[in-house]
Amino acid sequence: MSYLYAGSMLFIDLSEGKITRESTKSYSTSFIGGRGINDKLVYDRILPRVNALESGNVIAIGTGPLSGTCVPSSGRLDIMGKSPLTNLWGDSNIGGYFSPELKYAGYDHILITGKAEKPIYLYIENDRVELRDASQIWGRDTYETPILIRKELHNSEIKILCIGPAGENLVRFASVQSELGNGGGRTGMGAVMGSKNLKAIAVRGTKGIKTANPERFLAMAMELHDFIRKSEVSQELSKYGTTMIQSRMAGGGKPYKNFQTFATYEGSVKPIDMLTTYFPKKIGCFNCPNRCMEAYNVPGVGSGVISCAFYSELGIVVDNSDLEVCLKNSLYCQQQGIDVGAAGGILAWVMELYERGIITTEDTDGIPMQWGNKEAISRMLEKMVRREGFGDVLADGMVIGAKKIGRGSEEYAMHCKGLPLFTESPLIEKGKALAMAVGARGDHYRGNPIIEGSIHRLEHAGMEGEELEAAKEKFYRKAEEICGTRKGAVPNEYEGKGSMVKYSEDTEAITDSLGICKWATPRQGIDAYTPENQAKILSLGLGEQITTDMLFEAANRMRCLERAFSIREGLTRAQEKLPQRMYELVTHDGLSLDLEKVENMITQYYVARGWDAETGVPTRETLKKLGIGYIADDLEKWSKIDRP
Amino acid sequence: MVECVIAIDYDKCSGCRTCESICAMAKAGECNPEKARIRIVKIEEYGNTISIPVVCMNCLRPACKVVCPTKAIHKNQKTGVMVVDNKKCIGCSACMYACPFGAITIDRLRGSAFKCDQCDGDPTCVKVCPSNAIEYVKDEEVSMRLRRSCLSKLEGVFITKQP
Repeated sequence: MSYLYAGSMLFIDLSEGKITRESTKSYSTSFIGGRGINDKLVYDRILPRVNALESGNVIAIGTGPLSGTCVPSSGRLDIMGKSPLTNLWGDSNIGGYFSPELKYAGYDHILITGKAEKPIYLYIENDRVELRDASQIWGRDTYETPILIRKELHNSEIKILCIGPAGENLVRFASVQSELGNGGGRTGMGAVMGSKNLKAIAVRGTKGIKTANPERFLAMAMELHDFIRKSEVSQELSKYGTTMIQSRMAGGGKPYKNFQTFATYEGSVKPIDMLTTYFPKKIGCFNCPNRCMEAYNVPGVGSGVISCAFYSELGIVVDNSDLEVCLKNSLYCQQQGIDVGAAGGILAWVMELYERGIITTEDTDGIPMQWGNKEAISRMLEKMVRREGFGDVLADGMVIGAKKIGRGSEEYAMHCKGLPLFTESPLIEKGKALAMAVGARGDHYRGNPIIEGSIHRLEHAGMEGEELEAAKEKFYRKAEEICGTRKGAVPNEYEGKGSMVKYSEDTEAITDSLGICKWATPRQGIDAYTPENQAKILSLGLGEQITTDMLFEAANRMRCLERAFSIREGLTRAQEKLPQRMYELVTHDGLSLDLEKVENMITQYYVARGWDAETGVPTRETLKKLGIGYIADDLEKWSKIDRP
Repeated sequence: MVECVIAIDYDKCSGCRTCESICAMAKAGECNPEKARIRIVKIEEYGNTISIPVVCMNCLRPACKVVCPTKAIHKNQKTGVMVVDNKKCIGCSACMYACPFGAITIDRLRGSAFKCDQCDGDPTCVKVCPSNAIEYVKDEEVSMRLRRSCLSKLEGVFITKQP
């Protein structure tokens, strides 16, 4: 039996109803696990250039080697396929309790191909794997579905991953939902599940995960638990949860009304008010000391669990400051299974179009889409989920939607590569702008440099003079180590950001492939899972020496594979851009973005990655060096790389 | 002999299962909640979620001990907690059925029962619980705390805090 890994992967062919197994071993050395192995599976097994909502698309579901073990924050799962929203590489990461359960059942990964004839769900109980009829649960929401499945199987311990009506209706930004409050929303993997007639995956496992050095592994796990628990960020998260982030977001620099201007701090909700009024209890993911989610039970709204984004994406961006309305809409999104970020972004876009007179009530089925109109928000969300009238246009996302609407509506669509942007400003931190432009799935969340973010936070933490400089020094040094210049750490500088973004993307890729949460890493200001500690805990568990260099090489390999995937699907440099509006905006502090300098950063980034400086296609040498030379041959077939 | 209990405050439990996974590793050397001596049970329905840690309650007249046909369950003189003697245990499951809390499990591979032994007076789970939902305290303190917590609910009604 292999250590840390459950040992096998499941391959489910829905068209044939065939279930096969393979060992994880041959994949884990080069691709670690989670997002890494998913990258490899998806690249190799998908039908290239297939319509994302047709049976040739695949869904890979992957745990990491640390998922389900006793190390903290180890409950993450990675869901990957071709995105119906961007038509490029699509991926979403989800917390909760599904990932550990899948490993206890004995599987590291599931790859789903083909399309079932009628609605089905996949049930896994240790060695028993079967496809079951889902006609009774089709149409049910993501809060009801798990209850019905548990009842049918007479087992309350089953963990479930499912889609809601939005996924069934092929809304291109449909999410995959797990336990209350946990959803994988970005890039629309829920729609891919829906297109395959796959309603849910239910799993129950009772096997264990072995480690090479149980005693030392446990000792280090205890240390990590202790470290996270005592860290300031974790304590804040555990007390205020995402409420803290909401108020931080509402502070300086939060884009407002579809990125037309920035919100000011006044009028935003104080964390403590939110806590006492709405959120009496904290909820956590598997094995996590952070407990960053809030459970609520509000009369007139309902019960549920929320984590980040609900207030900014369904509040600030559409100019609605009524918390109860935000909560209600957020609950609706979770139940129906849509990405809150995409839904909010699209609503804001529609509201601006309405404000400018580009669309009228004639287009919107009579709904007046004024800013902050509470009823309009709820009704339009409903229409999107059901693909009714104007909602049907919006359910296809901004790119297709803008084509259908026409009239220059594309100009106001705030998206990168088709993925609606979360309302976060790329103006303050230039690395964030770069991460947004080159982001693998469209947003910056997988690569904005943590270091410049840390400096920005320090500058607004109320410190002054020498004390501030001393606190910043650590980050300057780290930046110098990564990109050769201290400027790499300065938010408002363009220099060195290519390497900074590469470094950040790599650290995130490592975390995603290990199956642990980013919120326990330096990204969130918790230095528990530094790359050194990740290598150390992995070595202890596996009983073989893993170095940080090996992890970073694997991360680079993953990123190149993701890139090659999108290139094969037709990605060009012309798509790697921010919406034009980002170059016209100026923050309250007078910060702005320069188009030419951003283009320079993109080139810097390509070079740092070893890709073609002009086109951004990974070069044959780079791919060969990473041991995935076959990708170069494949890209050659698609005329993306020249013959050697 | 100091009789302490693992006191549970389910209001605080976030349901994260850290206690479970750490316990299984510490006691069975494996990452497997099925082998944990403390378990988290949950209800997640219609948006509501409740989770409760389940562990040996240190009964004074322990049903597990009474029903054990081989006298494998006895009191640890140092901690006062009931422990299972693996040599005597025949894995008959009587204790498992008798325990009103479901705090005893049978290890089907090893053929014996296992339960919480309070890590010999220094429980590991208590050290890692991020919410302090489980604490290791003297048994009489539990009731005292509960009385105090009832009182604190009245505090705002009868006592006006001075500004």
